[in-house]
Amino acid sequence: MLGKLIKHEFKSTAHSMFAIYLSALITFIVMCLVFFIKNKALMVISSVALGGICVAALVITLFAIIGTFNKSLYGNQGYLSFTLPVTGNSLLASKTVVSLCWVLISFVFAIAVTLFLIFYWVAQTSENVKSIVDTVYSMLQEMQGVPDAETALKSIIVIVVFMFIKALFLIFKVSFAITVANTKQFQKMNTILAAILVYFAVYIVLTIGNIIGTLIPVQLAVASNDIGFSIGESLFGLAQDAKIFVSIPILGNLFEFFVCILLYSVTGTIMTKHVNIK
Amino acid sequence: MAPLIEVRNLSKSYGSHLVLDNISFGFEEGQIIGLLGPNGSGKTSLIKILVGLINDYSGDALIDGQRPGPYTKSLVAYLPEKTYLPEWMRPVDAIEFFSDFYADFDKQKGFRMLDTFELPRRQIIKSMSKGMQEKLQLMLVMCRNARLYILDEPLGGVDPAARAFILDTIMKNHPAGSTVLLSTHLINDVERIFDSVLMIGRGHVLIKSGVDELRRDGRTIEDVFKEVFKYAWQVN
Repeated sequence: MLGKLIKHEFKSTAHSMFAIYLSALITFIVMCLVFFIKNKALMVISSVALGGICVAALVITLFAIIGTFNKSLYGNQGYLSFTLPVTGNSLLASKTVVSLCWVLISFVFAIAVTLFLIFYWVAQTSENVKSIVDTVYSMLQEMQGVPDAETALKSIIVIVVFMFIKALFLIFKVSFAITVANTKQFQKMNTILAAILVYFAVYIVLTIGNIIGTLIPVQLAVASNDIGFSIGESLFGLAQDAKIFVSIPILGNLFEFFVCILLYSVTGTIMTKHVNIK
Repeated sequence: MAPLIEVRNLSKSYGSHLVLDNISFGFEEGQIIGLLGPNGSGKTSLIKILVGLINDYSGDALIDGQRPGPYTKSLVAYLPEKTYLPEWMRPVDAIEFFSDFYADFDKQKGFRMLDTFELPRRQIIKSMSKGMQEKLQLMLVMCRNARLYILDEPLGGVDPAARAFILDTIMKNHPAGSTVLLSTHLINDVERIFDSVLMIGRGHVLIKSGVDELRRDGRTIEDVFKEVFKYAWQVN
């Protein structure tokens, strides 16, 4: 049943996301065309349009997540969702999976658009993208402890996992806030206002926790030939004289990961035991 | 025979307002049950508890011996008062949706009924009139071969011709041996179809009886209803 829920959740959300990505594709094609006809005014306009679409994609993704919980669970559609022969956890899981996919797609889209715009304008001004890429690469090589290909790949995987946790963290905060806003304790208040208040209350508490986490100097250390940990001045999993390319604080991410698990289970419990569909 | 619907010591309140006050009753399978009461008597709250939309109550509400959950939801075909289908859906999508989740949904019958009801297969629900949306929901519910149909005010707010159409659809399409629990306050139109009635008001079960017993002294159910619920319109 979870697979079917995910399938229908995708269908339900795709139509609102489809328009934005279609408009990005059209803008991309226009940009490619005006690049070859060398019309600078059109290039500027289409670049600004693509940047705007990128921002709109992020905003619409956030609204889609809010809608998927507030409208399809606790609005009139809840009469359909909550009378399906599935568990409350399946409903929550399907919405989480689909929301996560859209958030990750919007992240990747934003990164791709940024890179595309950089190369687009670099190509326009210098007409030699390859030399700029070579310059950046040689600059990187001169830096201390530049990781080899294998370590760089490992680092990218770690960063993707962290992005994944960040996206989940956002979804769980939103779903928790909307779920709590729909309990009878908030019945007399406007649901969206209640959800915003709960969200910021949760945000403040979690930010304090996160800041405390970052004060403890445990970091992921990326060196030239491997990844390890650093606690203060000491290195673990790396040679003590290893040259560190970059250090990434990890306790905040671990904290967020455990909070994700907590928020998921609390949201599931509140949803199935304390929320009445109006 | 164990009751299909069993309610024991069920209470539900909204703040200080007690809507259902320790009510108990049971109904065996295979009947058409009228759930009757004036507006605000707790009919919808009782139904929402039975279908799993209200969770904060005390006591037990059981269907086939189980509390509302995936199993009971697979047995119950529920028609709420509200229009609940997503606006982006078309009737074909709705049929696909019901067919995916309910093993007892008859997809072919769904397509046949769309044509009979003159509902365009590919028109999005957002652009449909309220009447068309209600027809579609009724059709989806009645295309299930469910053990229990719970229909909340299906006759409310429609003209007499539409009421006759809705009743006809329900009577023709519910499988033999299934149970129908139909809430309404428009008794005159429907009393001929009931096997049993449950009248609730002021948080209590006021009458639970077979219709033959109620009609024994020549009264109609509407007469009984007026007598039982005259308090609702009395001016003190």
